Amino acid sequence: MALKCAVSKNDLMEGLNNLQNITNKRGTTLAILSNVLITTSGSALILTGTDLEVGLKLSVPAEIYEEGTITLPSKKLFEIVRESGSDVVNIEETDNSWVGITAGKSKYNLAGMSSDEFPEFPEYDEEGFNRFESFIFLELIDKVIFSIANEQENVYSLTAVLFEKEKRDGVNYLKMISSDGHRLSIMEKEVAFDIDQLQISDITLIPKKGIQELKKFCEGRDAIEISFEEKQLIIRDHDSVMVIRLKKGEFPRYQAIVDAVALENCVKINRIPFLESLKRINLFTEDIFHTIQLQIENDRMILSSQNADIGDAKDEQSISYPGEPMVVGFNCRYFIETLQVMECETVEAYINSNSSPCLMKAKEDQGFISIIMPMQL
Amino acid sequence: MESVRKIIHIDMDAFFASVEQRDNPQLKGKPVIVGGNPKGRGVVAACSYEARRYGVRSAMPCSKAYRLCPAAVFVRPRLDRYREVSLEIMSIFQQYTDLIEPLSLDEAFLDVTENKKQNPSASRLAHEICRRIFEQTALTASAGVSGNKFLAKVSSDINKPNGITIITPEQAEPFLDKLPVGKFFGVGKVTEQKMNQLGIKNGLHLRQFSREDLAFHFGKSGSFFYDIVRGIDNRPVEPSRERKSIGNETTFQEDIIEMEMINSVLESLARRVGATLSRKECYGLTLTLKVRYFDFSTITRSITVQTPIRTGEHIMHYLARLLPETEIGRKSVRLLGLSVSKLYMLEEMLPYQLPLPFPDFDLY
Repeated sequence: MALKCAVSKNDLMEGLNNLQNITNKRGTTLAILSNVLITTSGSALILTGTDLEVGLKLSVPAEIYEEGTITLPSKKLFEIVRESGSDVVNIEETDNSWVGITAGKSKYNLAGMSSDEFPEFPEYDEEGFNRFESFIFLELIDKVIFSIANEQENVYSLTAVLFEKEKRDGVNYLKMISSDGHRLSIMEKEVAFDIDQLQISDITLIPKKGIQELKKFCEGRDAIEISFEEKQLIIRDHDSVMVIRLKKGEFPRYQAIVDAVALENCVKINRIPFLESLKRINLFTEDIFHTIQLQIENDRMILSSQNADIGDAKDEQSISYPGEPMVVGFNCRYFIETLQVMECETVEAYINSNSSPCLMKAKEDQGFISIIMPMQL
Repeated sequence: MESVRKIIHIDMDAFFASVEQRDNPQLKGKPVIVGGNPKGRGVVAACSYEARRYGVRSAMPCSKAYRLCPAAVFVRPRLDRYREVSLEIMSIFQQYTDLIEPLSLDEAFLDVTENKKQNPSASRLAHEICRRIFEQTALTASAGVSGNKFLAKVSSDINKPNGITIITPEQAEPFLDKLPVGKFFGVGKVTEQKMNQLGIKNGLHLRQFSREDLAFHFGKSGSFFYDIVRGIDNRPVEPSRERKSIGNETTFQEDIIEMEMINSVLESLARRVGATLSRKECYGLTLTLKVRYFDFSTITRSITVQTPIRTGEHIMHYLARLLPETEIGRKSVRLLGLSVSKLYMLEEMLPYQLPLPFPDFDLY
């Protein structure tokens, strides 16, 4: 059996595009993981990619002349399809895992690899899926994705998002929490769904890569089906399936920090002007820490930064603040990233001292809390 | 070239054992071994000259010392007492100079180029200091006098005990020519072996090598060897020498091979070192694991990292990378040690990003 099919350029390009992040993982040891597995099913091509952490299977409508299965270099195939000048792309397996691709007058011979070596797609239970509107996950992810620790940054399991469910006063919430050890982001969304049906373990950790792919999967879809198993998370929409291997490990008791911040010393500040001011001041911060100094007085905040090589910068914002004047140091980037995902007009920042956590929230940003530790200047 | 310095190295003779003999006259004239139980697994911390005659040496296992000299009196070390006596001796030094660099309880460098007695003769000062120590403490010391730390230190060893040796700049070369390489500063067992393989047995041999050759074979130390064999050592006497490392080690009652045991020992060592780091408000960038196997062969493995090592968790994390470089788990171990070096004070790293105070997670 040798694969032979015709497929729309745009459909194939979109499918391959969705697989690029998974198949182009740097430093991968298994050569075949850079390939996409192509199989036929009815009148569709099934494209599968995996980096052993995240596996994605997509279906692309196609005219199948002969059934078959093959793996092809994902990036190269994507580039061929993207650059092709024809609306239809024909793929035909020739021999020894080679394929001939024709698109209009263009012809390519591309070396593939036998599908025998391609890892099995993870097995999962077809039952137990729950349907959610995609925007719920999109919003959860957007508010926490920026403060997940990077792999090299951290020695602990903070390189994942903690996923939780909670029932309070009869209301169901889904929550995502991330922290890189210096800051903490929490987002919860009310759901009209009985979360008791959602089986998750006490500590459900979705790795950063999985979160990025889940976000992409949700984008452009109205609804998704989700099922949590002990070791993996499965997301489904019609013929498309993504399986994310969950991370094992601990997550700190983040609520203790939230509870420890006294909601008293509150700086109220207009979000957009503050954000713009921070971006200006950030032009003069040093590279690693992006240190800024906030001098907080009753009606104004003076932002300043200096860089040994460039010079210094100062800016001023009007605020409403009834407390004692103080001077606090922060990583400017942390503030920018938090303010960027908020939607409110006025943000409330609870800053109690130059060495205690600063908590930010706003009425319009329901369910969102951001906590940032200051820098010692 | 810098102006000529006058450095004295004072080294107390068999310090711990001498303090014991002085405090307990019954021990006078007897072989005294300060250390652990003779039947146990500790090592000799110090031994009197009477015991040395039987071949007993510091750092030797007590059981071996006992075999060599069954008549020896074994005494438990009383570090507090030695510290007390040491302070007394250091206060004598202070009457001569403020440039004192203690190396341990019983050893110190004194820079007497300028001194409080306005005495231009370093050798006279050395005699006076040793005499004062004896008058005040009834303990003897040996002294080395020369123009730098390295020469002063090797010379204090020459007429030990109770002797003073002076090496003048003219005497330095002929003296170093005959000095076995093992006696050179910074030459440990491994370097000594390596030098022997290169045909370097003494200073004369060592001097035949160019700075580049030595740097090639011995890295950064090579250049230092090139200088000291020419009697050049510009290291100053540093009075407030900071602690260079923080560490802890433990010798087992019985050799162990089980990983579970080893891990729990390492964890507790890591915790202790971490606690010391935080007490001293400092952090380190290098972690060193020391392993002594059942046959006394001893290895160290280190890792130097970019992120500050501040806690027991950090130590355990990096330790995981060092363990595969040892034979732990395959070869019985009698001693394990951990130390953190390249120390910096926390306040030196300003501006410093504070960690979130998670109650159960010690992050940085």
